[in-house]
Order: sequence, then C-alpha cells, then structure tokens
Amino acid sequence: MKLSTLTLSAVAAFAAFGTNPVLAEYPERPVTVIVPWGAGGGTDTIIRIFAIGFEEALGQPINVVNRTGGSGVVGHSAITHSRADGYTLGACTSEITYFDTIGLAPITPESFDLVSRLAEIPAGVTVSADSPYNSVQEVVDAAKKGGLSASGSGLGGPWHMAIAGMMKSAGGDVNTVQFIPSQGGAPALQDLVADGISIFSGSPIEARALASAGEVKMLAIMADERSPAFPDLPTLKESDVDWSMSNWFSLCAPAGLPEDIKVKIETAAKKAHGSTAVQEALAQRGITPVFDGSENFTTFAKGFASEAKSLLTDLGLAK
Amino acid sequence: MSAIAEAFVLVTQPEVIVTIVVASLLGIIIGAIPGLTAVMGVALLVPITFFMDPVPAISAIAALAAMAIFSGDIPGTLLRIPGTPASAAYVDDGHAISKSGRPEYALGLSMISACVGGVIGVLLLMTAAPILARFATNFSSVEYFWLALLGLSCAAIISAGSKIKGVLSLLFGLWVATIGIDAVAGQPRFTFGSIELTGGVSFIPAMIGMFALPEVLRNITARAKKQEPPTMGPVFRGLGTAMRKRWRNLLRGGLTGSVIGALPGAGADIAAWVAYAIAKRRSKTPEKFGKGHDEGLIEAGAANNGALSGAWVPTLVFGIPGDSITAIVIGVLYLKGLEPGPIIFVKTPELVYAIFFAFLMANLLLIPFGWAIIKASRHLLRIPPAYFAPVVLACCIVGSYAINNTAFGVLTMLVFGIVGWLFEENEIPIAPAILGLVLGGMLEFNFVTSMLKSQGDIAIFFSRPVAAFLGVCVLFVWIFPVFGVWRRRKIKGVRT
Repeated sequence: MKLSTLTLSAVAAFAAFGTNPVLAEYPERPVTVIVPWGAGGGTDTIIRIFAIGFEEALGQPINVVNRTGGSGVVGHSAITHSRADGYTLGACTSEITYFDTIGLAPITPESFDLVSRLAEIPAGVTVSADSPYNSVQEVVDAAKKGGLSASGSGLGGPWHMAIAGMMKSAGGDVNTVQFIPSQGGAPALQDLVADGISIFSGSPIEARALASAGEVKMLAIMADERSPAFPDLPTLKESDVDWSMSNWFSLCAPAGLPEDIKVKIETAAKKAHGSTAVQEALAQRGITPVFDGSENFTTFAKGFASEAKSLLTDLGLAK
Repeated sequence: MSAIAEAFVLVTQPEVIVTIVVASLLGIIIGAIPGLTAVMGVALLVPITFFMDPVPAISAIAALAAMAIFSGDIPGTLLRIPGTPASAAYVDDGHAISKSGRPEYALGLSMISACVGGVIGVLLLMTAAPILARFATNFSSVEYFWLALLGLSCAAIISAGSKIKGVLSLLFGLWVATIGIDAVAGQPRFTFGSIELTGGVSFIPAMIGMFALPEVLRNITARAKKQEPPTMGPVFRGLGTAMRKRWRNLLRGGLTGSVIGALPGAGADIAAWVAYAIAKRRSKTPEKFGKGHDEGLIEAGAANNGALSGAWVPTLVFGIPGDSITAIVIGVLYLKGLEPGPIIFVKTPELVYAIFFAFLMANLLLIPFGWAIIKASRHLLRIPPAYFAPVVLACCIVGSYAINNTAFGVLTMLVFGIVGWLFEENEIPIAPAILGLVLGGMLEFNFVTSMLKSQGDIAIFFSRPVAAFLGVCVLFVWIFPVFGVWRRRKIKGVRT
C-alpha cells in the first residue's frame, strides 16, 4: 500500500513535471533576441532600444545576441534553426525577402513567424559638397547621360534597390547609375567625399554627421512623406519621381510558434513599442517607428519580396 | 577645441579612470610574467571590453599594452628571460646591470625610458593623426588598395626573421581572409556548406588562438629551470643623473619607435631592435653594448613604448593596423560601431581625443605602477607556469565563445591555436598572418570595387596623384630586397 502511494505520487509528480512547459505561463525564463548584424549598427540600436520596453512588457530579461557575418545569412539562419517556443526571437531585416532570390540562402519570409515591423529607415539621395548637382532633378538628368555611380550597401542590398528603383521610376534603366558595392554606409560616404562615387543612396541618418560637417549635401529622402527628423529634405515625389524605398527592421520568430505564445509576444511588443521611452529614443535618432502587427507585416513582406524580385531580376542579380 | 574639452570630460569619468587603473595593473602583471605577452593580454581583454562603452574599452587596451611592454623588462632584467618579445633587444644589458648588484637601477632606467618613449609616441599620435586624417578624407578605393598592399608588403618584409617565412605566414592569413561569403558578389568560398563559415573566420577567436594558445602548449611541453630573483634597493636613486646624461638616447629612441610603430606590420619588438642598433652605431663606446651598458637599454626601452602609440596612427586614420595589438583594436572599434578611418575624426572627434588622453594617462601611470611592480616583482617571478597556464586556457575559451555566442568560436580558437603553435615551433612569424587576415578582405574589396568603377581598366590604380605615389612606394618595397640580394651576389661574384 505504502509502496503504491509512493509510486502513484511519483507518477503524478513526473506527469506534472512532464507537462510543466505547457501548463506554465509563457514567459517563465529570459528571452533571447538574435540580431543578424553587428553591435552598434542600425538593427542592433533599434532592437536594443526596443528591448528596454519589451523587457518590462514581457516581465522577463531580454538578451540581445549578435550573430554576424555572411551578409546576414548566419544570424537569420540561426533564428530559423532555433526552437519555436517563444524563447528565441530574432530581428529580421529586409534581406529575408530576397536571400532566396539572389541565391544566397534558402531563407524566405515563410521561414519565420513575423511579429511586426518595428522601424524603418528611408533611403536618400546625397552628393558630395563640391558636386555640381543641387536637386534630385539635376541628378536624374545627369544620370541619364551616363557616367554616374552610387553606393551605400552591398550589391542587391536595400540601397542598391533604392537607386535602381529611383532611376526606373524616373524613366531610365535600372542600371543607368552604376552601383559600386560597399561594406556599409560609412565607407560609402567616405568614398563620396573622396570623389570615388557620385551618389550615396543610403539613409540621410547615416549622412547626417557629414552633412553638418559640410562635407556632403543631402538632396532628398526616399520616403512617402517628409521626415520629422529632416523637415527640410524633400521627398522624391515632390520632384515628380514616384518612388519610395525604406529599409526595415522587425521582430520575428522561427516559423511554427504556438498561437497563444505568438499573441502574447505581439501584445507585449505592441505595448513596448508604444511606450514613450521607446518612441522618443527612436525619434531622437531619426528612425521612423512602425508597428504594423503580424498580419499586416506578413502581407507587407510578401509584397516587398515580389517588388524586390522584379527589381533584382531587372538588375540581373536574381538566380 | 570643444571636442578636446568633451574628450577630457569623457576620460575623467570615474569609471574610465577605474578601468584604466585596473587594466594597468593587469597589464603590468601580465608583462612581468615570462611568456605572457602584451598582445596576448590584449587578446584576452577583448571579451571583457564587450561590456564597456567605447572610451573605457579602448582606454583599457591602451593602458594594458603600455604597462605590459614596460614590465616585460622585469623578468628580462632579473632572470634574463624577456617577458615580452619587445624586451629581447636589450635583455643582456639589463641583466648584466642587475647581476652587478643594481637590479633596481636597471629597472628604473627601463621605467623612465618607457614613460618618456610612450609620451613622445602619444604626442606624435596627437599631432600627426588628425592632420593625416584630414588628408585621408580624399582617399578612395584606389588609395586604400595601395595602402593595404603597402601594409601587407611591409608586414612580410620587415618581419623579424626569414623573409620567406614572413611571406608564407602572410599568404596563410590572406587565404583565411577569403573564407566566407565574398563581399562583392556574395559568393560563398571555402565554406564546405557550413552556415557558420559563411560569415568567414571570426577574427578575434583566431587571434586569441594564435597568440595565447601556443604559450599554453609550450608550457606543457617545456620545463623552465627555477631561478631566484635578486633583492631590490631604492628604485629612484641615480636615475636623474643617468637621464640628464642620456637625454639624447631617450628622445631619439622615442622618435624612432613612434615612426617605426606607425609603419604597418612593424611593432614594438622591431622598434626596439632598430633603436638598439642605432644607439650602438651612435655610441662612443659600442664595445660596452650587451655587457651592462645603459645607452641601448634607454634608447630601445623608449622605442618600444613609443612604437606602441605610433601604431595607432595608421589604425585610426586608415583602418590599417600598425602592429598586432592594434590589429585587435580594429576588431574592437568595429564592435563598438566606431569604424576606423578618416571619417571618425569628423564624426566623433571627442572619442578620438579621449583615446589620446587615455593613452597619455596610461603612460604617466607607468611611474607609480612601475615602482610598485619593481618592488613586488620578486614574488611575481616565483609563480610557477603550472598555475597560470590553466587560467590562460580558460580565458581563451570564454573569450572566443563570448565574441559571437557560439561554440564555433571556441573551435576556431583551438584550430588557430594549433596552427599558431606549429608556426612558432618552425620559427614562422605570426604577425604577418594576422595582418593578412585583417587586410586581406580590404585589399580584395578595394581592388574589385576600383576595377568596377573603371570597368576593368587597370590604369585607374595610377590615375590619381596620391594613388600613383603609393603605388610607387609599394613597388619600391618589393624591389628593395631583390636589389639587396642582387648586390650581395655581385659582391660575392667579384670576390671569387
């Protein structure tokens, strides 16, 4: 009798232990967010700002972990390979929509459960201070005659698509402006100042420090509306070029997240994102906060992927 | 001016000062233990700097290195085992003075010359770097291609020992730099289907492995015989007179060191050898060198600390490391979002000046800390290697894991550690391999983007005046050793 009670209680205890993960309220331990880009970069900054609010909303510590390299492939594939239990999340960037298109890795938006976009950084048109061009129209006209080059990211990267799309919308060919790959904004701007390239198509946020030092001129922002951080910077649409392009940063998880956990994450993320601390910290850096939620974001990512695919095919980079 | 004031505020923050003091203590102890080098100390410090702000992180590295290079003289003087390779040039002089019963005098000379040499180097850094940076904002991919090539060529040719081994080491580094997705076309190379390798060989684990692990392995395989260090008298006695008499050596050493340090690939050890040779040639009593004479000790002692600061000039201005320590620093700068290059002088001048101030502070701290370590050195030298080898190994593993939070980093560290050990056993210098690893990507990327700009016309490399000048410099560095061999052969030919 005594023995069977013991066995019974042991079985009960074991059963309780075994079912624990399901019964326990998510989240019961710290959550890791994998950032596929370097510490101190744009994605990292956004996620670390967001994590402050997210930690509070979720009630668990957030560990931001940088897994860099391979043009974002290493970090993004680390996210897809982690367990879909809500304890490992990621900071997906726009690259997930075209990794597969350019043949870099079999990663698509479907490899993830997309929670929401968190922020976007619009592209821009920046030229060196001694450049003869003073408006987007002048740049476009000169570019159509040939001989101009641009830089800001890798080949097929967001800022490459930005300049290609701008020329296409202005009635030119996607390759009118020759794109020279660079390893990020800073070296591209350096090359712009040194007259190695004629246009920097990256974000005005990156160009701001050099613009205030008088080394470069910012001509336009590739957003739908003027940015509060750069009220004097006209959009392309104001120059009759119907094109906008922003690089975006999001919160994502490996595909197959349980529905209840996904809802919890999205609710907490929304609350965190809406907090004044997060909003202010992002605005201060000229980053546009966005929160579109899982459903809208998934639709948006699909649209972005097909737009990227058509541009990259025109550019001859799709495989 | 406001940037300088801001920098001063940044450096005088309590946490920065505490970091500098702690890093200095660590450096002075690491340098004093035979076999633990300044480079290795810095490599092991890197994972700790992840948790710091940029200024304390960089200051910690600067302080640790400056202290370690000086205190490397301690085991050299007392036991005739140079604590770091940079002390090897004048180890005989220091040891001879010590044996004649005045170890404190030899170490005092080392300490003062290290401090003065370091300060000369920092002053050179403070004046030359911003001017060069102003000039370098006009550098495009073409100039960077030549600079990277110049750095690599110097690394292979100036490196201590056989040139062919230097080139071999360099080629190994260049090959490793090609692993991963190439930055222009996005094509994976030598990845063998591994996702981890698409990111390339992570630099810091490779570095920790190559510099720290061979030391651990050597400790296991070799047994050093026990020696008893001598007792110390008052450190400052007689130093003033010596310095007044040898001020020329002090200044010349500091300047020689700083300039050699600024050359890519040539670090504190080469600076010390060159300065020692200059001192000997200029001395009235060259026959006394190596037998306890102070001239070479002072000049080379100033040179190795001067080189340490000089090495930061190309590092900050062009992103091209001046020696192995600054090669690690480049990795840390990137991690902190401070891309080295002329732009950082425009974007964040206060951070650059803060680094300069931290450097100056570390060099001035050499005197009080140096005094303390000279007094304590007897006890430090009694620690058997069996105690610190496991600690170093543990630091290696933790550090290489922490950089990317992956066990793959540890694997990288172990593989490169074994490669580094094989290199050292066969007298192949490690520094060129590290420079190849750091500069290989830069060389290739700037070559390819320049070719893209010119649509395949190779003449672009000589199309701009500065580029053409740098190109000629590279060709000169290449032709020079060939010319030397040819001349030697000719002389031989005449004789036979």
